[in-house]
Amino acid sequence: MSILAGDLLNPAPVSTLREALDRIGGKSDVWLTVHAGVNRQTFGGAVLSRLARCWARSLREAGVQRGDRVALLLPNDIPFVAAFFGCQYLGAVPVPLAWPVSLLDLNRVLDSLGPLVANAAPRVIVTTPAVASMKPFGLPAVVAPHPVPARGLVAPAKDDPAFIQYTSGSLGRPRGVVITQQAAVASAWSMGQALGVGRQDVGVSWLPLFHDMGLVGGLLCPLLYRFPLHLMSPGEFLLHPRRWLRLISEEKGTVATAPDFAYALCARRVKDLAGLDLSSWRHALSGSEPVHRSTLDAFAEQFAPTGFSARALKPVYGLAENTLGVCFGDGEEPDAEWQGRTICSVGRPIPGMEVQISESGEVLVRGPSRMTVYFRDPEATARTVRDGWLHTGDLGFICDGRLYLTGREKDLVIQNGRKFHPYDIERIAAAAVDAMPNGAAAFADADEALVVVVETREQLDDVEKRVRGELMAALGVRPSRVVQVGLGELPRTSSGKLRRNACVERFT
Amino acid sequence: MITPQAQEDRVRQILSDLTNVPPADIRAGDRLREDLGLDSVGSMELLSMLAEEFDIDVEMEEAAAVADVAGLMALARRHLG
Repeated sequence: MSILAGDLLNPAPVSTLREALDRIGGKSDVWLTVHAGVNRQTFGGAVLSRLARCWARSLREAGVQRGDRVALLLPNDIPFVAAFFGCQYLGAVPVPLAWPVSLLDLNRVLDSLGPLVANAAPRVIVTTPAVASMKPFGLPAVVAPHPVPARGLVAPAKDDPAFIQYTSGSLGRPRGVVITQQAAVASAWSMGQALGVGRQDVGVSWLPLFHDMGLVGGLLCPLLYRFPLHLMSPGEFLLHPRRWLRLISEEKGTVATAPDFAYALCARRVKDLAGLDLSSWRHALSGSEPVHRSTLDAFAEQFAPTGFSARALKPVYGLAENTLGVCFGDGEEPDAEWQGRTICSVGRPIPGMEVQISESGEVLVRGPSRMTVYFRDPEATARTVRDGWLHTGDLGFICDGRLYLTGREKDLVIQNGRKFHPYDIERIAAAAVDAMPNGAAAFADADEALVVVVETREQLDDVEKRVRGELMAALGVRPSRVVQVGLGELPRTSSGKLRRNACVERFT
Repeated sequence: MITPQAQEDRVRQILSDLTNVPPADIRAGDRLREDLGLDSVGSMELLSMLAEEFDIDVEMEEAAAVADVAGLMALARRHLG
């Protein structure tokens, strides 16, 4: 089995996130700018460090001690960043929770986070006053920093956890990826080395901070390399995709990352190119969902008149279990043909990372940013980390020193950058039509559209409406097709387990 | 100046384009999420298309508060006077 290895990883200048924040320093230099509409707020390293210690004080007064988990349920704004680092000053472990685009259905959002919060068992939750008034999870809520910074703070060791990143584990069994200080630093440092970034670079990000790509790629990489970051919210990007591009244009952004759907959205929605200059954008990374050549081409063509270079578009591969980055493209990957499909390469391993393909075709990863354990889940940990190698669950092959992904985390359904376990979708779809709990199948077709098949006792007229309504309400996911079949028509194994691969063949 | 009826028809058409529900089947009481099947990304794209179509500036707080077709129509009316 041949191993594909990245360059040697240079030693990072710090060993913990706290040291990284302290190193930003500077009384007058702006490091972070938060944009909301026409408003902007700027923060230098020293100001941010002081604010983080103010949060540390309010957290400590709420009873948070070293090693305690602290749930963060906050939008992409300064409280998230400052409270995240406030935890670092206490040696506490932030647990970012998914902040919804709309708060209309807050009760449902909180319900869906319940199993995750139960697993993480945080001491407190940091959130907005509006959410705190609903007494989420019965936890004490911290909503504001103390006016006076804390003193007598701790210095976390490199093996201490830096944060816990929950992944799209099945709703019943959320999995918290424990990332150590060392892994967090190594991941951000490796990605920056792969891109060759330095203090002259400028980051522009709308990616959610509760997600690995927004947190590690968006926030921590600029932190480690001390280049300025312009932050906006996912909701604002979705509502005004042009504002992301305008921000890159105005701030001469060099690094900005997004999933495939976001590049497609920009190519589709942003027609007014007047005043846009995207010539500074050197690293337009596309990650977190399958990368389509058609999207890259459409984006490059649409924005060529703004000076945007097609070579800036780089497919990348990462996963929360490796903190983030595994392979990065360099903008010149050849495509591969595989089973009648064109597949974009996700490039070569970034510094410090090694990749190999197992006998079964699974992508295995080894390197300094690997997770230690799934929080309180030794069985899942033992399945995922074996002999030092991370078993990603992704399928792929290596060709000419580059990695190609052919299937993403077996059975997982990805919609608009969000990942769903078919089991969760099936459970809800079956309940929607009063079918048996195992009487539904959910899977993605060749175009990654979600198909749901339900077994019903008799022909129902409103199956599509019921299934779609319940799935939208409970998970916010929209099936592109709902198929109704009779009892026993779903392909199953002899032991009664659903055969999703057979479903894909039969129903698409 | 666009008439209220023309404006409503246009909103209905955009909704229909995004959801594949025929314009005539879209009712004021339909919820964007549960009845028309728009997820959060879809809802934002809808509002973004409306903003562009009518050349209005919708902000996040306002956008996030729209739950149904009636709310959408009200938002368009507010901006277009």
